[in-house]
Amino acid sequence: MSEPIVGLGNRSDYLAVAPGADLQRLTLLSDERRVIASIGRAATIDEIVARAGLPEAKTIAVLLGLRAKGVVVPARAAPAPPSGAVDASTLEEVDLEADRKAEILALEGLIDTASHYDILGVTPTAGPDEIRRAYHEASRRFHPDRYFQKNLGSFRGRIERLFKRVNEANAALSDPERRAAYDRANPELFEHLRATPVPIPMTPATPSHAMPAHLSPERADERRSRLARHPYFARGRKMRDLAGEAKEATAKGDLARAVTLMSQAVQLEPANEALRDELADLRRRQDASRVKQELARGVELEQKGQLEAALTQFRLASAADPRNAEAAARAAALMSKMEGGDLKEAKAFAQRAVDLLPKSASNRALLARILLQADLKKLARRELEEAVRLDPDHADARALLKKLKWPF
Amino acid sequence: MAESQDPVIGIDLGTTNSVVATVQANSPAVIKNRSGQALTPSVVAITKQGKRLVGQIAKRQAITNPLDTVFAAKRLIGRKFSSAEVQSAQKVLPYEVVAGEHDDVRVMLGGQKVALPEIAGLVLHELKQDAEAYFGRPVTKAVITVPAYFNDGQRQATKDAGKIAGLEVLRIVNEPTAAALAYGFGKNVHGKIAVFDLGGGTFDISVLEVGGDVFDVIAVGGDTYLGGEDFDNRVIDWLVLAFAKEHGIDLRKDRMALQRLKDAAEKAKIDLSGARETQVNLPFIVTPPGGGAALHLTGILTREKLEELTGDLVGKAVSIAEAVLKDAKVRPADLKEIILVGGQTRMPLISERVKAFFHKDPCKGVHPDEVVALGAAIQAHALTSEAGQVLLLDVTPQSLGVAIAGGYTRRLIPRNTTVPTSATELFNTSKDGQTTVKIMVLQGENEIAHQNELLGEFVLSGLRDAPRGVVEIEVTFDINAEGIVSVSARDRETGQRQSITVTASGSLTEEELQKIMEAQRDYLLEAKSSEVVAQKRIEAAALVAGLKNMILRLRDLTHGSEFGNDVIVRAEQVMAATEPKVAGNDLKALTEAVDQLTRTSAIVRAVIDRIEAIPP
Repeated sequence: MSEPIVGLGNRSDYLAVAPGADLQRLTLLSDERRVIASIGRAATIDEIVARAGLPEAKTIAVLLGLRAKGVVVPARAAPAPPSGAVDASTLEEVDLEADRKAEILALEGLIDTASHYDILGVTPTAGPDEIRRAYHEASRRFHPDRYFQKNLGSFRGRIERLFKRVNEANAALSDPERRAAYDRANPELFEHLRATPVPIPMTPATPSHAMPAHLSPERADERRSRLARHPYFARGRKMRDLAGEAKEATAKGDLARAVTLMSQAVQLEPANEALRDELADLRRRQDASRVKQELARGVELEQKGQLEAALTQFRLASAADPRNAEAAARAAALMSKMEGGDLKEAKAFAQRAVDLLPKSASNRALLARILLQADLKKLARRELEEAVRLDPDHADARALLKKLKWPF
Repeated sequence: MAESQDPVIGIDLGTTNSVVATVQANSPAVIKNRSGQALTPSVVAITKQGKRLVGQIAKRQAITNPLDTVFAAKRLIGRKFSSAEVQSAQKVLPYEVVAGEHDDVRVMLGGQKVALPEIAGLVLHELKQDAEAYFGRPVTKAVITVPAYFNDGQRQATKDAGKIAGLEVLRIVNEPTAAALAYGFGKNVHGKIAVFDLGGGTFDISVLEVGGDVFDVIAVGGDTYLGGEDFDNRVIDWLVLAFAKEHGIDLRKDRMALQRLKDAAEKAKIDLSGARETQVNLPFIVTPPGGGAALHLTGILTREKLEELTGDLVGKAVSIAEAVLKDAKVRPADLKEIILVGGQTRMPLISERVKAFFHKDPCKGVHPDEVVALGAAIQAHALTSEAGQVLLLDVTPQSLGVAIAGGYTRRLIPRNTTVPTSATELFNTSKDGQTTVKIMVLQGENEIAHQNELLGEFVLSGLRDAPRGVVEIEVTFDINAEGIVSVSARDRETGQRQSITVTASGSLTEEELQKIMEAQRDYLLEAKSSEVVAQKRIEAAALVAGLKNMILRLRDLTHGSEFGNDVIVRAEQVMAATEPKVAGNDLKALTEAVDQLTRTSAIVRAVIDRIEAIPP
């Protein structure tokens, strides 16, 4: 099945763990942890399914759940190496996996330009505990002892340089005085935090920052261009560009692209609440439109007689949009009709359908039918009575109720 | 997980005792030596016959062989002869300590000047053999521990000792870090801990941040010349003083008396960790110079007196601990656990003072003598296998710097920097056409250059001929994960690597090391062959004795008649011929002699049987 999955995207799209997700603080089930571990830094859905070792449907369901919680986000694949020299390095025969090599090469380029916070992968507002954890995590990846007596070729030097840089960053940020001095010397790191969340401009306009009033126009321009050149500040600009593009895409109706762009923007600035809200909203809209597609497909499959596949579609549709009554109802109906269907699940779905559309007699009738199958006569009767009350002409409900009243 | 590779071991090379350990089935365990003990005394001796002794047997004969029994070699290893520590050690050690070339330290052993790494190498070799006896396979890879406060020279010397012992030293690890590893192994520790390590000769205090499998050292401090030996010496001083007052004799001048005093002091000190008082009894300690009956030394040492004699030593340790906590910017209340390591921490005064300073009871769950070796084994296992990975982030204990004009120190790498680390500095020529630049690399906290430890003089030669100041050399100082310093240089303009020679470093040069290793190999071969020679000689002696008896019997039987006479004559000829061979050392000649004697004995035996078979 090489079709896109509702809520996750194409099977060859990349997913990644959200940078701001604190895995230790979230309460995660063991299956969720397993799937997260299978993602690594970024992976396609196919890779995750292969690595996790769980049944495919389960893995996908877990991924959907994680997406809903915001722990997993779509990601772009690692950028293609810009020059031939780097290409040769990836081909080098060493005791390293390809993605580890790529990671090292990518980070190596950042050694000189990135701030201490970037190197450790924390935000400038991170507390000392977070910095220490990030440092320990970086050490686990880049300390030379991890590669003791392994054949590393040119990568040994790279790893050593990386680790030295990590050490420098940690030494600077762990000492409160040194950190304060560093923060003072690099106020641009905090620019984007201090500024009030800028409403997403309709066009990717030039950043209109409030320049300190006492600066003359020429100096303000100079300052602006200097700040704009600063690598960390460039992020803010990029974020605004991305957000603008996302808005464009939404207007055109290309929700998938809009979500991709917006999630990139959020990745760049995890602390920006406005962006996050936008992203969540976009995702909801995207899921809603996807759900309709999924449902339609499910119905089609059911008509064709491919019941299992149809059921999966309904399940996915319902998981993607828990507020969709139709998906739940169809799922329940199909499950109750199928041989060996899971009654409990069917009941849950039917109940959800009823909760979502309390006034629908059909839904109640469906729930009642399933309850009967589960031998819960009293509850079934109550549902049926309610159904008949709502819609006295509902043939199904009335028939069932009659059957109930007569014990044989 | 099956270990298809050779086993790896961890060694705690202590001042007083050494321990070897390994990790088996993911569980660290101490390897007992061939005498069944976990602790092997770090003592090396040479008997009058030239036989080498290591360990408990060396310690046992120390009293009767004080000049040729070396203990506490760790107090001297890697130091300069002119240093204060070596000078003061000379006064209290019964064996002779002399100077080698470039101010390094040698000891006189069996009439020869022996370098300290060689002594330590003998102890390591002994432990290597114990491990091989345990595994039944050759053991070549080991992690060896050193005090955290050991400087570069001391670490290099320890590594050399490993090489001499025939070991590939995977890593030199700091003792308190190893102790923390062993403490945290199998537990999921998160938080700050302190390790208070007071051993036989050295003191270390280390503050670590433990994050599950990552052991991140924040700060270390210590004194490489403060340990149990100093406590013993205080007791010896007290005994010697009392004796001198009474009899006017300085017992320290007598080497044998000194050795006996040392034993007694150590024993008394250990007793007083349990009892409140103990008796010191040394009969016939010395004969007065003017003649007369031998004198005895007796006394009672109470715990209070011991604490009075050694209180300042404990105070010194605690104040170093205080300074290190300040360095680490950690308060005693922030610490989750205090771990006591080293036999000397069994003294009640120490655990009292530690408790008073840290406001916390020290951890009781570690074995103070074994924990360091276990930690070394864990690190060895982590480096060589994929599973069970722990990560050590250790620091350099002392600042690294270079000497600059005016005799001051310019600090390049501050103390407590996480290793591996490096720093680069620019040097330029100060005279036109200068072709060499000399850099003096120092380790220590002092502003004045010559009060720090000189690691070595690094000479950059073959510089371009240019006006002064034009040639800029970029010198990079690297400290690796073991805390060992290396220097490399590059001409900034041309990018060319500069050649560096190290002089005045005080450690063994490459050729000296090679010579020692070859000598060690030869000695081992010789020892093996001398065993074989000894066996053959015994065999020959037995054969000769048997032959003599048989000749007597034959004489009896034949009553001096013609018959059998030629056999007797022949046998005596053979005995005469083989006598010089048996007395000599040549294995080949000895083997020949043994064969000849065997054949002759067989012939004589046959004759006797024949005669005895004739009915009377």
